Amino acid sequence: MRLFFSLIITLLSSFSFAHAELKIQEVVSTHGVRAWLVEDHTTPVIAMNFSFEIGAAQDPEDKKGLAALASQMLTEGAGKFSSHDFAQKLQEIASFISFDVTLSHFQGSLKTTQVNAKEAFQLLKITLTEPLFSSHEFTKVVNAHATSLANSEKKPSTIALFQLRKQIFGTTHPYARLTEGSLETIKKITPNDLKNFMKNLSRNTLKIGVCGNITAQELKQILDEILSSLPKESSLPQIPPVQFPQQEKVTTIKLAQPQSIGFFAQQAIPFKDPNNLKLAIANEALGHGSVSRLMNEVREKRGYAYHVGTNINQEPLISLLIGSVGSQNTRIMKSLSLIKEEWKRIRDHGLTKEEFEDAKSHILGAYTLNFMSSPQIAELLLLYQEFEAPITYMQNREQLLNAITLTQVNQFAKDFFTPEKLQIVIVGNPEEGEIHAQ
Amino acid sequence: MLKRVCLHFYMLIIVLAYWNVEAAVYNPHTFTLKNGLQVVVIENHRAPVVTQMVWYKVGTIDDPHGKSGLAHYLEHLMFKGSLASPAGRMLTEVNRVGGEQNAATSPDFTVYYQVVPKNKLELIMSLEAGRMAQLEIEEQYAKPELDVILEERHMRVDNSPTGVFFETVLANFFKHHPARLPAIGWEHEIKTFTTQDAQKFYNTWYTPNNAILLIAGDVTVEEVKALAKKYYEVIPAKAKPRPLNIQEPKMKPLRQRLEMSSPLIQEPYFLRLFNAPNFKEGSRKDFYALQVLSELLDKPVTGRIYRELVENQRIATFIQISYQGYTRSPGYLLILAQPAQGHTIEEVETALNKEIEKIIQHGLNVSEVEKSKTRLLAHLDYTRDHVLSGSNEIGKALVVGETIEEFESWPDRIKAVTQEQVNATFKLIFDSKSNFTAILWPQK
Repeated sequence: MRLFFSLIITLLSSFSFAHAELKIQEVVSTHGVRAWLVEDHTTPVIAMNFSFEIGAAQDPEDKKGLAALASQMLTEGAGKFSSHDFAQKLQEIASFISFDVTLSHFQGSLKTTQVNAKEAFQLLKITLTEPLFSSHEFTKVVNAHATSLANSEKKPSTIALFQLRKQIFGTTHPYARLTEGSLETIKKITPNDLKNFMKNLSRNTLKIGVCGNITAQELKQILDEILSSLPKESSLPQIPPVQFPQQEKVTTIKLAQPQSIGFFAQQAIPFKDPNNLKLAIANEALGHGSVSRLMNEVREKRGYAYHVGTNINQEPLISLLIGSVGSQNTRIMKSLSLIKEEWKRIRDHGLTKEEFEDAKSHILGAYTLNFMSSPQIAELLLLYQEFEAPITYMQNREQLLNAITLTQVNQFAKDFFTPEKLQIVIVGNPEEGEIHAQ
Repeated sequence: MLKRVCLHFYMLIIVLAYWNVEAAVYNPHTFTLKNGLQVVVIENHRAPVVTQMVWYKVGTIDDPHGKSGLAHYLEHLMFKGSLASPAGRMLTEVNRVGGEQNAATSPDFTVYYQVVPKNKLELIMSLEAGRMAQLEIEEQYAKPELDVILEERHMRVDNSPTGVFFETVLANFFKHHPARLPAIGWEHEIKTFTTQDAQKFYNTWYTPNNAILLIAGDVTVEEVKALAKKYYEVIPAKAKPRPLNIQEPKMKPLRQRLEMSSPLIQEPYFLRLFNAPNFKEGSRKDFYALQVLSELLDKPVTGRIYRELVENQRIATFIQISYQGYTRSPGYLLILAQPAQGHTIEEVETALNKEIEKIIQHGLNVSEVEKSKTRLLAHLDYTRDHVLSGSNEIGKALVVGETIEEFESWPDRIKAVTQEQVNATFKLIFDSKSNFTAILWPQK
């Protein structure tokens, strides 16, 4: 579930190269796979993040959860290593390999140190090319997955987010799924399905970010070694397009809790849209972070919530501006009314000059905070590639941001914000009432 | 899992949740200002980023009787005030420069931190020093914040499947020590907080001689020294506050059992707590042996107890063993597990007891102990790779009374742990006649 939000993390901030000399090199493997590398020989650590363009949305309808189970099984034994030996070997060389799944991507990460790099990359290679998928370990993993899924399905936040997705995408659309699958569908998955799934992890959709104590030449050799056995291409089912609902809709799911939680969303624009940074600025003022109109109106002035905020979630098929709030049952409708009001106000009146300057300044300064460790940098390098940003994007970002004017942002806000189409889900025991915007 | 720390804005889980094994050698520099404020500087020039943390030696266990959660309420109020006051400016100004900030209240301490681009260090030092020097709590800001805290309580405790469970467990595990109180406070007591309560608490506990200032990142000791003198040294010290230092009574051996149910879970949880010395109690050797021990028992796949219950017998889907020892409060060790589908709590308990008995009888072998030590030490590379992780580890240790020298000698102390010590400590904890078992059942 958290994966639905996983792309939100860092995109709304920018970076000044004048302060941090982060030099990105492009390393191209013999097979034509491109990796972005930030070389840093002041740390012993090497971090690599990579992803293939296949995710939970491509799972077969009756086997939802397939990609998620594959991601968990890859570290349960490979090549000559049993599950136990594999874990022991990784621990001996103090290295970490893990996999994760979003709706649109199958992601992997490796963290090692220079002295152990050779062995660590070798282990990574066999997880991708010779996974054991033993039925003995499979039973264990499926059972644990089922337990975690069963618990997660009862959480108020999971219930709310799942409902919101169904409301937006329609109950049968692949984007309405939980990445983990369902208790019913994971039981239909077999180790053989996992073997077939691996054919989808092909070189043509692979993207890689690396940071740490490794040279471009060393990285190229490693990539050549790891990637030679991966399929060149794969064919994946097309996901049907999504039509965001054109009418406001509010759904309430009753749950006996003192606090109701509300989720709300409208359609946003893709990362590649030229207006993306204008959206970042407008969102900063509206609901992102600890200082925003929503925080001010709902929390600071009235004490109606501890948490209220919005984030931008950009998936390949659709982008959303999505937010949440938690308020006691007698106040949730008031909180949601305030939120809708702010949605209208930012559309009709735009940002003030001060809000605009603060938002821009925040976005510029916050970027530096993304570069505090090798894994963090590798992750960011991957993220920009997933969004198909040019390698020069990070250098140009400050300039792009500075070129944006208040008038442009306010013009954008006028067209962008659609309070009349908000999709809202409430989970809790809210008092009767309606969501009114003045 | 057992998170007793209330974070101010988001669920930023990077800090303080519980002790972990990533203490390291960071070569910190330290000096003390004339007003008694200890300053610690950790230089790390990997990225143009700097963090400031102020750790106050006051937490939930110092809340006045009948006002549980007051330390946490004050933590919120440290961000409230007119736009002319440092407290009122902190949020907006740090946000404007792209900084990240938060605060947390734990049983033992309250910490405030900001992370900013390095050229903004002076700004955050002037603001933080400002609210250390003076905080005028005003009714108009303080009152709505009570509602915010109640909503925070609903979110963290009432709406969380395990929130009520852990809160209840701690309230019953500790008999007398205020570590039994929830950091966020009991709802009926939160509702009685007044502006004067918070002001009095601030006046008593927030003084430079009861705090530690920690600056880490792309900065030099000289720069910090100059700024610390300019902004912090001018703050007058108040009378050094005296914590009550309440002790748990020595109880007769007692095996307790608590059962609860929740509509928010599908599968049950098994939790067991044992008393364990914190770093100030008993032999220091136990403290380090316990770190090696908890690493070698629950390490996924290879850890002794994990392997038996999760891998071999497949009775549990996971098992976590964690030791809370960097505390002013009494230390403890907890085991948390969830039965695999088709298996019962009873099976988990029986298998766990059997494995513990086996270790008491035959001990842990030397190779297990050595591998565990090697793993602990290997993680230093990763903690040093992060610009800020050192500051958090060192702050947590110093605020409960650890010295920098001992903190920095951590690798040597881990290396010195022997198989005999680990086995003796295991017996000390697990062979005791006292333990506390709690089960959370799904409410059908």
